[in-house]
Amino acid sequence: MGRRLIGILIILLFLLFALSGCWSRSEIERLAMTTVLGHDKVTIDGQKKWLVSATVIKPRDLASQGPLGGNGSGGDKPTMLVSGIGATVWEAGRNLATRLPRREYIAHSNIVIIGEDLAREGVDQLIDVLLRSKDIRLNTWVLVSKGPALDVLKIEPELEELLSQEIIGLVQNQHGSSKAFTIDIKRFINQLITPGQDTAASCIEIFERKEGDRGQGEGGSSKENPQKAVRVVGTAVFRKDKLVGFLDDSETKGFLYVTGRAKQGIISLSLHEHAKKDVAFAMTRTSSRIIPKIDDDGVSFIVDIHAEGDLQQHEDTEPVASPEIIKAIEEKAAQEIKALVEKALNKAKKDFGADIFGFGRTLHKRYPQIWKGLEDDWREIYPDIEVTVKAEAKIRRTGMLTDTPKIH
Amino acid sequence: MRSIINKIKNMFKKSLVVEDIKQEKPAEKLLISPNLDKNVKYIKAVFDRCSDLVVREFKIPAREPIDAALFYIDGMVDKNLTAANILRSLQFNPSFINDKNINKSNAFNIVKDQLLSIGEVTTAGDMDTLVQKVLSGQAVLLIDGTDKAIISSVRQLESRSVDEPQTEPLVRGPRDGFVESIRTNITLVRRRIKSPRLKMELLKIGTISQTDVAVLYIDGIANDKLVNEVKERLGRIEIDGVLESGYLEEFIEDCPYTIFPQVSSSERPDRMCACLLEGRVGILVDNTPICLIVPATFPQFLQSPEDYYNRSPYATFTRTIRFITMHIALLLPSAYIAVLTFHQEMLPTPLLISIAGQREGVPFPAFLEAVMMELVFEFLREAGVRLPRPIGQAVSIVGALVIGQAAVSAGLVSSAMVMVVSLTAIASFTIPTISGSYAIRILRFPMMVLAASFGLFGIMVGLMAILIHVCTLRSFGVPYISPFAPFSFSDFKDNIIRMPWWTMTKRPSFMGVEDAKRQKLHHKQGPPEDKAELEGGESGA
Amino acid sequence: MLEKGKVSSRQGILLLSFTVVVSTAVLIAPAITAKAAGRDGWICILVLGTAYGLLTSLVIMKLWQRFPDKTIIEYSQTIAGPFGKLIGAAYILWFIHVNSVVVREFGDFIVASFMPETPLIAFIVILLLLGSWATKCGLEVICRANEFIFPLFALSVAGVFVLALQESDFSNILPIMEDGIKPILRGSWAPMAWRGEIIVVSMLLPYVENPDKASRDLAYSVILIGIILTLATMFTTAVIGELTEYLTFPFFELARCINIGRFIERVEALILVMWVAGVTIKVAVFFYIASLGMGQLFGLSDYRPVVLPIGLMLGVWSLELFENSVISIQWLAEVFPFYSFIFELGIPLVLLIMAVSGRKGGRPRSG
Repeated sequence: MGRRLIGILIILLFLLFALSGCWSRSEIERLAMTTVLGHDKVTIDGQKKWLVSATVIKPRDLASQGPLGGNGSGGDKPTMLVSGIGATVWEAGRNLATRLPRREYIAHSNIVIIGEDLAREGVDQLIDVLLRSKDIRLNTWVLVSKGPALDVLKIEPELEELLSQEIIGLVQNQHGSSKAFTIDIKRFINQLITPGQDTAASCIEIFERKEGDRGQGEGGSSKENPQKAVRVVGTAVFRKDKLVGFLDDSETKGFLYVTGRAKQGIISLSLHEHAKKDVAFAMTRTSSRIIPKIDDDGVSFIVDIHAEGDLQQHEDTEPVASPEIIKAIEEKAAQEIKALVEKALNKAKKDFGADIFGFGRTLHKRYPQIWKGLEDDWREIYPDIEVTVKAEAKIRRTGMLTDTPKIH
Repeated sequence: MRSIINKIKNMFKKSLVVEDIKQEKPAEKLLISPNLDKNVKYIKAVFDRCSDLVVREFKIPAREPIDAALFYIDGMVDKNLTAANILRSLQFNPSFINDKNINKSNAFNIVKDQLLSIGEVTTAGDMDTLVQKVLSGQAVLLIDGTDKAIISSVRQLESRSVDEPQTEPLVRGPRDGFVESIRTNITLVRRRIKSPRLKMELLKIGTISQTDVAVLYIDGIANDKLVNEVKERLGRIEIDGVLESGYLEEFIEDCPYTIFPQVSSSERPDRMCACLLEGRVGILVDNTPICLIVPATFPQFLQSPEDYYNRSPYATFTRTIRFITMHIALLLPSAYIAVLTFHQEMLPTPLLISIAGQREGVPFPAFLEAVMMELVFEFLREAGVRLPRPIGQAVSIVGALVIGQAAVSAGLVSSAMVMVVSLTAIASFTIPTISGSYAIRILRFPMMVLAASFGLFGIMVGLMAILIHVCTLRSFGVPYISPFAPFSFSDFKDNIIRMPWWTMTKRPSFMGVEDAKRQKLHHKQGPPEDKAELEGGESGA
Repeated sequence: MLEKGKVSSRQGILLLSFTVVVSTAVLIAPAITAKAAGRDGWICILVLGTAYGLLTSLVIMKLWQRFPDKTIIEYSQTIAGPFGKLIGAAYILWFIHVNSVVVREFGDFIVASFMPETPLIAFIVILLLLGSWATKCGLEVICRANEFIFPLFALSVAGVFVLALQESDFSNILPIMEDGIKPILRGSWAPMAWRGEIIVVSMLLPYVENPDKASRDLAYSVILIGIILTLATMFTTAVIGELTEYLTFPFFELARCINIGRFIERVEALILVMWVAGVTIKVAVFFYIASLGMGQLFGLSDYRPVVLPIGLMLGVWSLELFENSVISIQWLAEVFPFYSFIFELGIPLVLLIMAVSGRKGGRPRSG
């Protein structure tokens, strides 16, 4: 009997314990869910401080709009923008929390935007904070904004309901055009700490839409100012942990070719020697290899690119359904690719001195002993490294037409 | 201090002491006396104020008429049979009447051996047996001058006709179910297993009720030790009355303190026979259509006889579904609470926003919401049992949804919660046996408490606790979660999956059956090997 | 005998030792090996870890063949006489120590990753309650429960690898052995110590039903553990790359990275679920052998009364052992291996030599 009593007592104790406890409990409606985080450095009273901004979701407004959205109840913004300033990132974050009536919850933040000033100053501290936090997932997208991150967070999304969904969509959709570089925190930091590799990030910028672009806006959302929107295009190039510059869209394309991440995209070229580009070659698959070569002159690299795709536009009047023409187009396409790649290489090497392609890393993997000798001087050697580009393009299909119909 | 503790202990002790049941039997057996009058007086005294006893005193015609008395309970005997075969054969027998040699001393034997045209006739020498037999529906014949009685089996009881079992309906399969009469039930089993190896031993349990209980097993397949254990446990029961098999179930269980049933029950004779063929022991109890089958393992509670009648792929499919729904019934509300309260990062962002939007304005935390809705559903289910059958089932599910919808409109609960509760309810209905589903339904609530305290960690702790507990259980020596653990590959063929009949060559190994082979090996059918035979002899001989 | 239950060789040896070793090793192995050996951590585990495991199991089997009915606590008394009691007591303390480290590690993990507001003591108390209850139920129950969850546990660990394939980049593993053999040696100490945890088997062998399969099962177990841990480390390096040595719980982060078709993502909490199962078994096993050992050491008729005191000791030790996680990781990487070598290989080897030279114990069985 005594044993049973003790057993019952233990169970009761446990129940009390369990019911009164629940320390980590947080009801879902008491959470302030942030979806986009922005980090900036600002100067206040001559001192540099961190500015952390976030967009917080208002679930009530989203829910009442229903799954289709658009019939908004008064056009109220579904998100709230808050920011906080502090001497360290965490302090800024806590000051941000003072603006929130609910508990801050960043586990659903899929986007981190780093302001240009902060990036130029160096991201090492930020990385430490992001990694230590248990809530930031390693597959969060990292973008660098041209200008302060706070400005990006102020933009209203156009197609999606939330800015985060808009940005995520932009990021995930870029493979269709291959003009923007995308990266998540895991790879970003990995590249930061890998010797022989500099990291790059996506670049997000604000642009103003022209008047004619206004289109059929939803009722009640017209503004006095011209519409501002965001787009993700280009690459932010880092040298060590500091931002040194941006690659524009064609340079980014070259960059993506080298790293084998250009999935789809258009190469426009002209078959004949006039400037008008009227042939479009749509890539479906690309692959690339970086081959280090060691010889008496030193280290050089060969970049070998293969692209495969379809012919999607041909305005020329010449018939295209012949193997010779196809071959000619292929050669032109390869030349075009080569030109793009070299443009990107030059910019990164000469202007920025940043090895975002990972030449050093490849050398390290293949010839570790040689890398050992060069490791300390890599930054000086790198701008003068000789890189040979070999490109090959193959057209597989020509879309739904075999030949351009002649217009009489 | 110690005295206070002792006082409290004594308080508990007193309330637990139960007085021994007063025995109904007298200490010694009272024998039948040769004097008929004495016997009749005694019997009338015993059955004093029992108005359904019929006493027929008559004289058997002979040279010297012999006094005799016939006793039976009105309503329990076939009156026509009694009148025609007992009374008539005794009172209307010319040879007996004219035979000079018959007198009081040898009348008994002659009556028993030559005159009574009843199929089953026994004799008894003491009063208690006599009384018992009368109460069992037999007719007792006492003859003056003999100290024995003749007991004729003329029982005819009103009983429900064999009908589809209400608790375990099937789509494909036989539609007869057990009824209240134990004789009929035994017949239903006997029809399916026409082998003399099917043994049925009859016991009487219950000091006042004297309920007939039959223990069935197949000699040579069932383990002798198991059978003896069953008989011994049944024999140990001393209770005044057994009205339903459920009484026995709680007495013969290995571990009475657990939620999990260790004895399976069924209303279907085909299920009983299948279990007997596997080496289990069945227990039939008079006056109830629910039979008991031991030993029972937990996976059995998720199985339905239909699994064996449908083809293997479909049977495997339904079994897997049941396995999944069992987990849903146990864990879905807890998972809901845990994810919403602790692990919001597990939800995809759009879903999270949607649920958060729904929960705006709901005054209760997720845990209370869930507990309330689940309780309401249990109320509905209990109420549904009392309603007339056509309405009952519909009320349960539809009622829950309607009430749920009303609650959502009133702003008391969120719509996601209604979905969760309905899914849980539907899942718990898929568990084929009722006793299995009770365990799951009750365990839901502690799991919810654990989930509300520690999230997924709490759920896991709860599951581990249940697992450890279940691993300690044995049902008549068989580990409760065979064949998951200890793992036996051949038994697994008939567990979550149901492999085709021609692969299941052995009986379940965990019961220690003596004869494990069930069917011929390598039994798979196929097209005839010599196709030419079919085509009409083109084999070119 | 204090334990009347019997378990089959497969249950007790193969499955149990797998769960015991893998459940905690898979959580932190990649981090500790990465600190010392960088990318080559997986080599440490594959080569040296497995070799050490096989060596330890060889010694255990040889010892057991001489004393088929006794656990290590019992036969150390036979071999070494009064000194043996000291050895036995040392073993019991070591079991309790390791157990408290395991409990603390796991509690730290949950608090850091999921529920920072909950005090550590809550998790410790719960784990210990479960463990003590399982211990009281006996060896058979522990083995049966383990048999039940083993497929789920192994599948979830393997599942993480498979699902993470998409995110992996195996060139991260190159170059192999860039800095030579020294870092690999340095990084091997800890994995070797974890592999040696199969010494728990020496307490269970007397209760195995079909002991002829035992040596085979033990070898299988060591190899299987080796494969799984090697794969775990390799995949972690492939997916997380250079970051591995900086993260506290790399395998967990690996689980977080899983993202298939935007559908199967955010599944790390499910990994937690299976870990709780695995660690509960591990805690129960160590708890059990400590209690059993104490019963055998002091000649008790039943080990159950000892469970509660040992539980209290475990609880207090878990809380007080380390002040913060930095100290705990350092201790695990530097002190734990050498401390464990003594108990896993050192003492058994000495005992074996003494037994052979002193002709103690029964004839060694063939096979």
